[in-house]
Amino acid sequence: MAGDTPDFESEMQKAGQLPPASARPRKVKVISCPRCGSSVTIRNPGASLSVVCDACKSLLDAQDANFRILDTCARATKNFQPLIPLGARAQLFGKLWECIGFCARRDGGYSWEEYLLFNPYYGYRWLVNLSGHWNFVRSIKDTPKLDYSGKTATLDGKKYSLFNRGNAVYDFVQGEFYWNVHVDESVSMEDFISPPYMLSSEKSGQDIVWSIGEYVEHSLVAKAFNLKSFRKPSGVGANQLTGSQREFASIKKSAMVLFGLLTLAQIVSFILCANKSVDVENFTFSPNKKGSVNSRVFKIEKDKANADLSFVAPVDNSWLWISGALVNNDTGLSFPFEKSIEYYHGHTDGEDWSEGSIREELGFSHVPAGNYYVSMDYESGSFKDTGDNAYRMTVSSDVPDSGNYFICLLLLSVFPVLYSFAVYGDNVKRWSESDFTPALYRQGES
Amino acid sequence: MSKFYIVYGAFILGWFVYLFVSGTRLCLPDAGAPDRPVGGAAVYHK
Repeated sequence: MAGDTPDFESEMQKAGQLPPASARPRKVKVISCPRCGSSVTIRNPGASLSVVCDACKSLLDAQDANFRILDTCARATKNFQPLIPLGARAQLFGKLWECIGFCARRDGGYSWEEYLLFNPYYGYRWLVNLSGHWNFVRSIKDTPKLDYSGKTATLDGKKYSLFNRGNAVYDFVQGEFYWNVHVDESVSMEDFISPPYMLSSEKSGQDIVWSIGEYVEHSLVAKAFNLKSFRKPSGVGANQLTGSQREFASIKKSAMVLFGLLTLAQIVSFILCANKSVDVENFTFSPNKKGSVNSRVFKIEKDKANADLSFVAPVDNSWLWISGALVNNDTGLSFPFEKSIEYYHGHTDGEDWSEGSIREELGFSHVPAGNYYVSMDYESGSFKDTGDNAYRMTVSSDVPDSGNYFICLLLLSVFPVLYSFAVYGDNVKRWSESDFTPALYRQGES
Repeated sequence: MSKFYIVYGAFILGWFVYLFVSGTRLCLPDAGAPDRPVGGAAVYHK
């Protein structure tokens, strides 16, 4: 008994996906189960090697003229209810797919569901559901290159990290498959991840089959297959690209551009700064005495530029205190300051020590252009040279500054840093489900 | 978030330029705070 594939081509044509090939549509074949007599639909005759009778769970040889029974699947007594019914169709990754097979598998305490999808023009794909996390999987012919430890696989230049290694067993099968599937059949398997992708290998005897999966949001699968009840994913999927990861990836690019622009602006600001010394003077003072002194009048030419005052005094296990102001000689506008120049050193308990400096610096922002002088009161401690000493004052205008740059850099880094913490947290959750957790993501281990 | 970050980053860049043009230094070498009037500050040269 045979019939046309119900409007598969017309659905594809509607979506503009029908290739111009003159290939005839596949025929759906309906046979009678040789065991119970129920009707069994073969959606992809010719390609499917085995098909399961829905009524008696007998596994039939789809290529055999008499559809001989391969396995009774009597052990598969547990009732698995596929979320996606067989025969359901959906647009996924821009193509129409029909669900033709379902199997439930487990590895130790972990169990998952696999849905075999079929399109007569594009072949087979898998939808794999583990704890509400979905992957759209296709077989690949290329063999990924494994490193010496077997913990890294490389395919097309992308590196994948070993996430899981174990033995997968079929618990339940339904529908049809392009290989002879057997319940309780065990294959050794390995999963390597590079979110949102996962490379998987299944080894049975000497045969190794590689496949690559891409993480699919559960809402996308639910919408595509119009599913009402759907389990929400728990935790972080093995190859799930979390919201934080996506945000971090896009923010990272913007951050690099902004860091570059800020650095460029800083370089330009350094070039444009005049960094001009407008006054250098020496002032004499007597140790252990107070005094007052005014500098000569000097001109600050650039309006609203910054200004720096630096003092160098011959303090040696002594101090010089200066309190004063940068004063506009025309308007009286003053910028007050107070500075203590101290330098002490010695040798205690076999160790040399020192503290303070003979040089001190202070600065002012947006100083208006004009004629200025520095007015100072000073006081000093004891000096070795009990005669007159001198300190030097240098006034500079429009000085290059790095502080603004580093503060802006810090502000630009806030969001990337916060997101990198979130990404780290997601990775810790992700790898907590693995036996091959990289040291970076291990938690609570000594 | 990315759009917000770009706007935020543009604001920081603009602020950096403003700081430069206005001669503002956020990390000034500390000028201290005089605790008494400076004798010479009130004396104009002219």
